[in-house]
Amino acid sequence: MDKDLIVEAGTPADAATAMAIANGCRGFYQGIPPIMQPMAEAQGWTLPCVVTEDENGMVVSWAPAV
Amino acid sequence: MAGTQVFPSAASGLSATFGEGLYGDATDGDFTVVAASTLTLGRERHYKNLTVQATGTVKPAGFKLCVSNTFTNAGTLNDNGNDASLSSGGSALTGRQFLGAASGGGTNGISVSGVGNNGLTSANNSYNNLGTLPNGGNGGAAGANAGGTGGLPTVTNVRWASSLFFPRAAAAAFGGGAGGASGGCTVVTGSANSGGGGSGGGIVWLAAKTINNAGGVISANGGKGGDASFSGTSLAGGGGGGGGGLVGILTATPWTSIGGTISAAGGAGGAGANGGAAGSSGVAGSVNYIIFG
Repeated sequence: MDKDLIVEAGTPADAATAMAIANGCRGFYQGIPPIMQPMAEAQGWTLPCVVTEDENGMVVSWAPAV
Repeated sequence: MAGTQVFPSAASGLSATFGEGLYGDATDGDFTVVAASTLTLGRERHYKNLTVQATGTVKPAGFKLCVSNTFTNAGTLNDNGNDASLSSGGSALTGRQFLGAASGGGTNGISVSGVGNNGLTSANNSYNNLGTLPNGGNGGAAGANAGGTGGLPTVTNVRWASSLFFPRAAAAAFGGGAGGASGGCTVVTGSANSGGGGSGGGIVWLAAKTINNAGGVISANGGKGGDASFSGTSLAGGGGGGGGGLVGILTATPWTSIGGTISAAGGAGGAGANGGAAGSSGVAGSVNYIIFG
């Protein structure tokens, strides 16, 4: 399982990097990518959040970032 | 420039958006790999923008990687072979997903007097840009005991250089470089361990409209051969390096502006011990571009 951070588009890279590291993420998205938008809308994701992907790169869960 | 194909520019009559579909549909958005982290692809990714910070790593793991806008790489994008660790040979890369990219393994070193073990082969390979195959490196000799012979790939009738639009060798996937051999060993008094071979490199396939690789590395290098060790008056040869793999890049960025390091080099041979010879480097694989200039 791998964790990625999603921040609002336009978040400064330094701030997003620090938050990604603090949340144990390998990286961060600037905005919700199109491939995740249907799931985000259905589940009511709020940003910033952390998504967990399985070994096939598919999102299996989300949680608010700390 | 060997291995580079330059298509006509828009100014020569093609649409300004010619070829943009080659770079994917951007559905994975804008992503940044942070320093000291690794993104291993679990599926084919289509980013709009992908940034890899310094010391960050992307492992394609047999998948194609598409970036519709800009790929900025200050870290590494690689499918390198595995280095040997002293007498333990580097493990082969297994066949993975669409690209395949199976490589030959390096063989283990030996600790009794005798010739080294031969490196392992890889299938469905491609001649490199010099018309040679990415063989594994030979192991180094230890006196009268020769090192093993580097792995010899089997070649398909399709070349990587002409297959970047559809990077498979007919129905089969391409293979990476062959494995390095272990060194020979001559035990007199004390002990000796010859170096193991490095494994062959795999495959990186990248389609990115714009590439900024300043300070970055894109590679499918063979793994390094292992160093030999000894005690007393025994001697041993170093392991051979793995053969290089395949790197294919489609982009609109001019060749001179990509920057950084792009390679499919053979792995270096390991050092011999107490007069044993060093292993040989693996043979380079292929780096090929299609540049929509």
